[in-house]
Amino acid sequence: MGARCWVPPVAVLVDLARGTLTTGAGSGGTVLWIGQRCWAYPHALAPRERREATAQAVGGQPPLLERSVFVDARTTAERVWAAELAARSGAVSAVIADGTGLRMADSRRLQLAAESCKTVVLLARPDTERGELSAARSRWLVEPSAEPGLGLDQQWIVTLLRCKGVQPTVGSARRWAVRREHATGIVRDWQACGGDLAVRVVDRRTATA
Amino acid sequence: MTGRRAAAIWLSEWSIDVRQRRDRAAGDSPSGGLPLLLVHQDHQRQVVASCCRRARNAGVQPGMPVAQARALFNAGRIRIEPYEPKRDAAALRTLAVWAHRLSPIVSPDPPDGLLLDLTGCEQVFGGEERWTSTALRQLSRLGLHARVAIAPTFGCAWALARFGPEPVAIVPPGGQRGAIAPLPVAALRLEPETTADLGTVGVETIGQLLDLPRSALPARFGESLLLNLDRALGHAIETIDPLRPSVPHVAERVFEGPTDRTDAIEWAVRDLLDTVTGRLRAESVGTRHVDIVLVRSDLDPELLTVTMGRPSHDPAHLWVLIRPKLERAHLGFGVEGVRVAALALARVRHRQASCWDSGADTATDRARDLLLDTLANRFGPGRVLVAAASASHIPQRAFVLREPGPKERRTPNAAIVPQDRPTMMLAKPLPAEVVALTPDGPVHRVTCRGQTHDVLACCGPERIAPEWWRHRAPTRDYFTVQGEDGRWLWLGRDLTSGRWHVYGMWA
Repeated sequence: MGARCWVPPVAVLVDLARGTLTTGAGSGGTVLWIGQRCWAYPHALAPRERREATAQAVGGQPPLLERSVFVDARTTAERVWAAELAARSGAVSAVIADGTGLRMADSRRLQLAAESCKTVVLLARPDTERGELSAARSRWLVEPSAEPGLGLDQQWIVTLLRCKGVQPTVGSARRWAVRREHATGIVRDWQACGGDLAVRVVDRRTATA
Repeated sequence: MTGRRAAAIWLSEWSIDVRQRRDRAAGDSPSGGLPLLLVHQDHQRQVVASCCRRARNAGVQPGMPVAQARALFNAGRIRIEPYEPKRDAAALRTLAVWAHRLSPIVSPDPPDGLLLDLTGCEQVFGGEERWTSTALRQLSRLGLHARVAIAPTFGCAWALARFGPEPVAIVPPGGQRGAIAPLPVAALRLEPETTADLGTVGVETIGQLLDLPRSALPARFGESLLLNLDRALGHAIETIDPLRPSVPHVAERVFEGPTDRTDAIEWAVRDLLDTVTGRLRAESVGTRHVDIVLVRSDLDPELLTVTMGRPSHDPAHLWVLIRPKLERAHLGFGVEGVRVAALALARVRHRQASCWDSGADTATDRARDLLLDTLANRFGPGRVLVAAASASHIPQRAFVLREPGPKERRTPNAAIVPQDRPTMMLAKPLPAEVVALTPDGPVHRVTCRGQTHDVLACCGPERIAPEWWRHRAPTRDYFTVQGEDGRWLWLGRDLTSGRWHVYGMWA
């Protein structure tokens, strides 16, 4: 599929957004979804019975569905403006935006905005833009993988393409397999091959295919 | 009680007149046509509530069954409409606001009267006779039949307006007793049972009532009889509850000459905004819609509008939203005046500040409101949305996107089903060609948008049927299939047409 009809890895993004809500810095915040392409079907945001129990254990935060705001920003300039405004507002714990067609200057603005207010900004871009320059702190590639024997669970392979301050090395130390259980909808991840790099989800930007 | 002058207006055919006014405003021909009856339901039969003068001349009376009234007119040439007391009451309040041109203190007297306090107003109209003639003339211009009485007490004025011999009555101070003596006892605003009791004893007029010993009256007929009598005569105080029309929250400033200096205009707008929000804060209300009008000297006035998701009375918040619009406004040759109006008022919930709460919650909420309002004002209506679950299990209708509003509603449970649903639902389903052994069976190959995928795994079918009251909505069988690239798709087959579509995917 070309750049016009690509689909961002919404399930992974939803799980990352949920993660930011439960960490200390993001409690009480909102999650903004900018750009119609990355809007998730709200059922994926709503907790199902088993997940609700863990949410209560964490601290009784309202679920992701009630914290999400969907912004229909159509042009690239509108999306960049909305993402920067949200990142600087201080009331938002995560901004998930459709990053198609972003240029270096826009990505630098967003990186500065994310660093200033410690907001997690995730940009989803198609694989065709992998060669574009970007000022993001880290870039990841997310591909669905067809591994047999998983039953109905879906699996993605997440590769760290670039991270500021980390030596680029080839090899399996930079690949993770992320699996979403069909029964509960919970996304679990583990390191596919032994590696000593533990990446924390703070100030990240994602490039995905 | 020296000097008090009370006036009562009785609109003798209020329901009929209001109805005819409404018909005229709607463009129907006036009642020069058929006589009008207003009917309502009374214990399983229809009864006449009110009738126009022509019907009354023909013999119809309020309380008569409709069938009997209809028989009085040959060939059924009458008009029958339902009686609407609530609409009439609302219209009476509107009339009370209109009547502020006759007196500053007006109170609607349901169902069909007005009470006005005229103390000190005679000089404005040039005397009480002039006042009554002005009032009657203006009311008849509105198409209303009215009777007016002025007296030292409200009770006396009320009685004379309804039961007095003349349509206009003016009672000098001290003349209440003589004025109400010949009137029937119902003029004292008594309960019907009390009036009936008095009738059995043989007391028909107020004069006869006044001849009875005072001490015997309460025990036999109740306390309210004596109270109403004293109120009418002026021995007890009666006050009315006046209608206070609400003052709109508007502030304006006119400059001495046209100016095109943006800093002056911004300062003026900010100042007016502070005035208006100060009033809002004093009344504990917030506004969701602010209009700013710039009166330009050579062009039409320019209107800028700012809307908020939640009611707010914070001038800083409003200024952040107003300022970009003001900067982009076209000033023309110059701006001569500015007007700021706060509309769409709603109550603002107060949160009590506490010692140990650092206030982070309210700061985050305010920042969130500001962010959403800024986005909504920049992009326009319908672009900033929140998702809410609706009471439907059909996946395409289960969730509704709507604008964030001030009230958080409880989410119904029908939409959140325990089965797994795709993480992304397509707005328009993609038609697909599917190769499967049997219509219910596992899917082998899917061709969608020109690309063919061999299916690695398939799960299903899950049948989702619409609600039983929707007859033409389709029933579908849904399959979860995994393509060779590892992506899972949600395929659906329409049972009636047999066509396949891709409805969603687990992206």
